Amino acid sequence: MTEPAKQGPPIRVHAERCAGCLICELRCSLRFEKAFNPGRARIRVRRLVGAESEYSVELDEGCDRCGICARHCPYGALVQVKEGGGA
Amino acid sequence: MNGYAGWIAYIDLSAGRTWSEPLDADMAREFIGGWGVNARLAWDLIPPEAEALSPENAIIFGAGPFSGTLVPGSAELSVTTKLPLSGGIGTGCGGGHFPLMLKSSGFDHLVVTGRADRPVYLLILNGRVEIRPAEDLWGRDTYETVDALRPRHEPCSIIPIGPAGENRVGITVTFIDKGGTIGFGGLPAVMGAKHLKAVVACQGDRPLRVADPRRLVRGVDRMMKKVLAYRLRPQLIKGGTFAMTSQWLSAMGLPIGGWDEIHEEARQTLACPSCPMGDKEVNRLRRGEFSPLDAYLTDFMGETEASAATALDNHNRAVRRLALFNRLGLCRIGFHNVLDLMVSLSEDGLLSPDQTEGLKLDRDYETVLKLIEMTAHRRGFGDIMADGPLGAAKRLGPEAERRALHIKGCSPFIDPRPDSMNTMAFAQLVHPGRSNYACGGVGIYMQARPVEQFVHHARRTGLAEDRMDHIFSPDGFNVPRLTKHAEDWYSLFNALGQCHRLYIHRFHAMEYFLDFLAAITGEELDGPGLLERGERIWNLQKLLNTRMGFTREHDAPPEAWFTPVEIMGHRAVLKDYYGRTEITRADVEDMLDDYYAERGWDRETGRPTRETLERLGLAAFTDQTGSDRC
Repeated sequence: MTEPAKQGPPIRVHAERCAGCLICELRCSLRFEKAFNPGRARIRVRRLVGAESEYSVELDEGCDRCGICARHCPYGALVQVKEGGGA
Repeated sequence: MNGYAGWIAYIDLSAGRTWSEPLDADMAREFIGGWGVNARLAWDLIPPEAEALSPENAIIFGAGPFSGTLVPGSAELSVTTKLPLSGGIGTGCGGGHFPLMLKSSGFDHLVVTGRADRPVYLLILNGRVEIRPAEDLWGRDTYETVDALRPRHEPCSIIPIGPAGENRVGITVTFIDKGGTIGFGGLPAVMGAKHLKAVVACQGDRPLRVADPRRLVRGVDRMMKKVLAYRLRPQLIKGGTFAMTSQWLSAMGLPIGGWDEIHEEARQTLACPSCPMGDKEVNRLRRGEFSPLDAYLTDFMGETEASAATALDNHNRAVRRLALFNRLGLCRIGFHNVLDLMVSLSEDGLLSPDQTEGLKLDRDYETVLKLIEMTAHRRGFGDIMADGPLGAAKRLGPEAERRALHIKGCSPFIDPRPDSMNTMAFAQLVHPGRSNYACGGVGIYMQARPVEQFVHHARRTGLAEDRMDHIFSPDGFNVPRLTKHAEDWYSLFNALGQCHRLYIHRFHAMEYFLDFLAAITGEELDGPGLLERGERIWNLQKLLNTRMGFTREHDAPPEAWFTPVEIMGHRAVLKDYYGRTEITRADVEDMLDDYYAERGWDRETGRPTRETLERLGLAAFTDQTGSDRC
């Protein structure tokens, strides 16, 4: 994994709001890979075993906090913290 | 091929062999994908004489070119097979993670033939398909099967079958990841007959490339802006389809007082990939009777109506019953229809206690639960009910057969008597193979809306201006002609891999489809050109069935539609869309004439004419169907 080129403000994860639409992974993979594939995204959404409707959401080390995931999350599960504080 | 994974996987369960072939580019262009390419494959791979539950029948899974991309709601999977209930070749469509996972592992379509000696499941990962043993899963319900496979293969998407499918029950459905319903007409029975317990598509590493990513993102952003600004979206996301319909259901007199609050507290939203309008849900009962209990629902409205019909006014009991249907993989619509028939026969003394083994057929809660279990396991009298409305009636004699409410052996989704003979009701009659649902329109077509709304919708969905007067008049519209347009439009959804559930469908339009298609595949089309592909696919679906002997008589309306019915204390008869005049059988025959003329099908036989096939580029299929003799 190459070192992220830039670091934006932190991205806060509210996994309990995630509905599993994977728009974050699709947007992210398109940005990094110029193609769609959730597995090639720098964010990982996984179902929690035993709870089909609950997800874990993690940003991986390749994430440069560009915020594309947070800007396009329609369920409010990802929020990029604004400069100087609040979400 | 931009927008496609580019490969079809073939699985011969009898030989225990799997292989792959490239997706033919011309086939993809002509039939788009999803149920379109499925139909083209079915033409070659499902022999007309094959029995639905025989090894010769094929099950064809298909994703469309929109699936796996960012197009909002592009998560529709199509599954085509010969169905045991209708004997026709039909396609079930349902939403979920499966198409995205399938394409990420390198396939657009799967073709399953043969029959395994022992229970198996299919594992799809990175260009490979493995046939794995599933003896440990056989007998488990759909939820248990998903829960067992998930830890082995996550991230993945799973299509299981439950005991009803294993027991080859006709009135079955199954689910994609417990959520999206798929397989009306008996797909799970076909899987069960093949000893195929589940299909698991894993997240692979294959990149899905599109022709013009920037154009696609621009188009998606344009549409998403409208979606996110929709004033009722917060209500939908919070309360699901139930919140959107509960007031209307209450007004109908359904006993759902207080259900809103319980439902909202228990509900958690489920979304398919790329969908900002997640309206599926898990209902997590954590208080009251039966808690803790999780039930996964595509919507709660249907169960609410069924609850009313069975005098059930308890929310938790309704959820528990729905969870039981889903765990067993039994079709709720089919079951309630068959139950109605059996209760009517029983009340009139036409079923003896010997036939029911002493069980008093009734709609009370405990009896219904017992009958659900018996039907799913084909135990006792349940073995008869399992064969669906026509199959069960045939086992019980001519009077039962006369009373059976069915279209091509399947239960209708919509009874037009309490509402009207709208396009969705009419479309049930003429649907080839009888499996899919939203082909004659969506919910907005069902209520008495002003004609201007239909004109607006038709224009949005690409109907040519010079066809408007042919369908619409100042005081109404022609139902069969509008049905034809709606079918061609919804045919595109199933082919592109696009969901047509009401709350995402309302934002789609021909201009978006053309833009997305060009951005994804690189092909620039105009509205008439794309609609013609929908029409081509529809005609191929028809040909698949006329080749097997389906004729106009199979499109006949059920006798029961012409008998008044008591619903919520009201006497309802079949009326036209605006409820102005009563409709007779002769009127429906006239509608069929009109529909066939609009389609370019022979009025006597229902077969597409040679001229129609040539116009649609389907002339090569002519000789084998007998259409040239029309």
